Amino acid sequence: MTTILIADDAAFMRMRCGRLLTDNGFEVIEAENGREAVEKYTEHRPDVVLLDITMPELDGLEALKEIMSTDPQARVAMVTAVGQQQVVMEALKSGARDFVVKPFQPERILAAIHKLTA
Amino acid sequence: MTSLHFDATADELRVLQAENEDLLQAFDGYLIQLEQDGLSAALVQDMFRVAHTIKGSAASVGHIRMAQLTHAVESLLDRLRKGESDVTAPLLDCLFAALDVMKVLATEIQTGESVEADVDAHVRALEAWDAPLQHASMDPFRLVPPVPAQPNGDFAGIRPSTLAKPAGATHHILVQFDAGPWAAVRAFQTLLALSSVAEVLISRPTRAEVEAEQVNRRLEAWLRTDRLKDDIRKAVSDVFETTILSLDRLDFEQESPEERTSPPAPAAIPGPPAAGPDEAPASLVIPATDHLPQAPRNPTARPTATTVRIDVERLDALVNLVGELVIDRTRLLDLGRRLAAQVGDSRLLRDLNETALHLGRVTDELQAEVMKSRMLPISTVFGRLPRLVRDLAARQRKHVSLIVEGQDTEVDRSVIEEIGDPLIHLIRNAVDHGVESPEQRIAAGKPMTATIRLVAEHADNSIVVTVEDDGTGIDGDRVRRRAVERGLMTAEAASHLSNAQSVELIFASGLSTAVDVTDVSGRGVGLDIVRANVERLGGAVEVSTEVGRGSRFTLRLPLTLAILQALLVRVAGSIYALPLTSVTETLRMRRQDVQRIHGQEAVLLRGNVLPVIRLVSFFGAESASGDPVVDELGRPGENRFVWIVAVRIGDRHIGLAVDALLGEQEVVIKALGPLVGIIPGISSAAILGDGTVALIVDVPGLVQCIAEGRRGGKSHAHRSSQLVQPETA
Repeated sequence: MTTILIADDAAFMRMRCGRLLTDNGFEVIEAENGREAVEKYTEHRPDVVLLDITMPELDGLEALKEIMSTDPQARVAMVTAVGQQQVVMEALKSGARDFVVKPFQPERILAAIHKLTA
Repeated sequence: MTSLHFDATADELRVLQAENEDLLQAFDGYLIQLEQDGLSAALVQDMFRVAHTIKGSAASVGHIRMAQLTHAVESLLDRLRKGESDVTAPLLDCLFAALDVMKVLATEIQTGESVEADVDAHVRALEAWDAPLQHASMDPFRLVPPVPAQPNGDFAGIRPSTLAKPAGATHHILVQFDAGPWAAVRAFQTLLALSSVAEVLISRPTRAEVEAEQVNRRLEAWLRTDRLKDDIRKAVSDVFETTILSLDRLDFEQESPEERTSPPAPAAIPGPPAAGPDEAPASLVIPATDHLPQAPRNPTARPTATTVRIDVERLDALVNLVGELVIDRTRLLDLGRRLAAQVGDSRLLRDLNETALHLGRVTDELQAEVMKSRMLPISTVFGRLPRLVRDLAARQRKHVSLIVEGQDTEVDRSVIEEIGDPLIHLIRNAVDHGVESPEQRIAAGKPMTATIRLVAEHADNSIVVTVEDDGTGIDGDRVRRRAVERGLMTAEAASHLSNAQSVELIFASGLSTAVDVTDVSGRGVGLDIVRANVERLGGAVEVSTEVGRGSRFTLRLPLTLAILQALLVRVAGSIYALPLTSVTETLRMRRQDVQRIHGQEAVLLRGNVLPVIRLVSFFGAESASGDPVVDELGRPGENRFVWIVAVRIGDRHIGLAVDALLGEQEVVIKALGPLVGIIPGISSAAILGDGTVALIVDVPGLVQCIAEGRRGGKSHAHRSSQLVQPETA
């Protein structure tokens, strides 16, 4: 089963996104900050990571860099808010494959994941 | 003649035109110099820079032929710079000829009409020096895209030999992004995707422009790759919100091997193009300049600019708006709490709270960013101090050297405006009183020149400025004696003071003498006023000293004066905000513990007497019902306890009796409207989450009022609730 790691500090976002993905047959792992995301990634090696940019402990960009250094093949999509364009570009340079903009539409998230796992 | 279209406003084009004229003029001079004096690294560097500048501007407005030509010039100069070519007469001729064409092309900017010029022939001639070496370069201009000389589809195409260098075919792609804030990021993704399957020779907008978000909805690029067209299509189609409008392989006729191996002779400079218009294949579709997507019109037309100047008023407006947002955030949380009280626990409510919390975090970040944008280096204040020290020292025949550190330390504008006076005073104090005369210094075995060190640094959300001198230091005994002489305290009381406490007396009101008045500040304010002013701003001044070795004054101010951490209290139905920087603790005391000592109410706190002031009687506020406030401390039975907020002003501790503590909150300071004027004991106001106004208490001012036997105006304090000015003063 395809495993998705959702890293977001907002429990609400994790819940909403997690529900959507579980309903669509994905296995979901959650992390509530960047540090935890890196740890969970190393532990579970999920197929796709949805990485929020604005997080405590370790922000999304730093977490991305750590994940990419442990696994250059990691498939990470950044989860971003409007106004973080520069960070997203930085993330794309650092190896993020894609990004989804909050508030996201369910079909967009699913499409992004399908592309990443294709 | 054909009309050209440039991606720039008329104003911008005028600037570009003028700049190009200057640059070409300079290039002319350099070229003559190169001919007369021969090669020098600095000269070639200058020439390179000029060509590069022209190229960059040309590319950014879509003046493609100019970009092509200057790129070729630049490449040749690069080879000169690297010593890969010699300066020969034919090479100079080639450059002169190219310069003449550049001058002609420059007129296109002004006229908007395409001129007859065989740019391609010049490019080829310039590249001929380049040909023997194959440069693998990241420069997107390395290879110049084919560009129509006549935008009506009548192409004077670049000859295949100049374009189709080894490693695959050239493609042109035009993509469009969905409208919205993410177009630039999609463009960036597209460029990354293209780079994964091809070499991006040139793109419009360029990668740098894309990264600077100077992107309209379209991007076009010329690529070179040996992959299939479908591979390119696949790579780009993986990018969301992106549509390929066209993708064409620029299928030139097969190159002849001769052409590839034997570059045109350098001598064959200007002349008719070897390839006529009809040599361009019919299938070749390249958008003419007038059909190109328009790049966003940035006002400066210089993609290199990374900073903008912003009017202070705009920043202040931004701060105010963020302030409103902070209020709404607080309000949202407050609503959540009240809803919870009504409906109890519910999933929706938890979601609401989650969202409110998240909004809060984003607002915090926004606020931090906005506050950061108001920061200025403290050098704006420090700048005038060296001159001050020099003048002061000269007048007193002292030798002083001022060492300044941390000039780049940044603080909010509001602090910059306030920190100047205290600093001047401390510096003046150091020169006047700290530093000895040269004779005294030599007698004391010190270097003749005294040193004053002025250091700024950040510490815990504060700016800390220290003024340190290596002068005489402060003699606690002398200060003590002087305090007794001036009647500030009895000899008996003075004898109980520690040395540190004695030194602290320099901040006491009435200690400074006329001797302290110099003409520098013109006001002769004492250290007591300095401390009072600094404390009014939520800061502190401290001193440490050693007799014979010098003194160090430490000035600490908050990084911003626009936001305040406050303790909210209720007094007779009104809410007051006490700056947390002055609050030392809060106490709940039994009513009978409040005693009257020498006519002053006070409580005993850990063995010390803490004078208590009732805010209700100070402000003379009325209760919500409009009745005159009953002396609550004196009202029997009803309130068994009183809340007392202990505050510190300098080394004095005072208790403020309030009706209730409401909690700590970060409030955005709003100036009181001009109609309210100055209210003793009140500095400004804040709007709370539920829309009520809290008056911010000026603690030092309040204490001073009480010391002078004045009282805060009853009507003033109330009237101000309605007259808070929406804008920060």
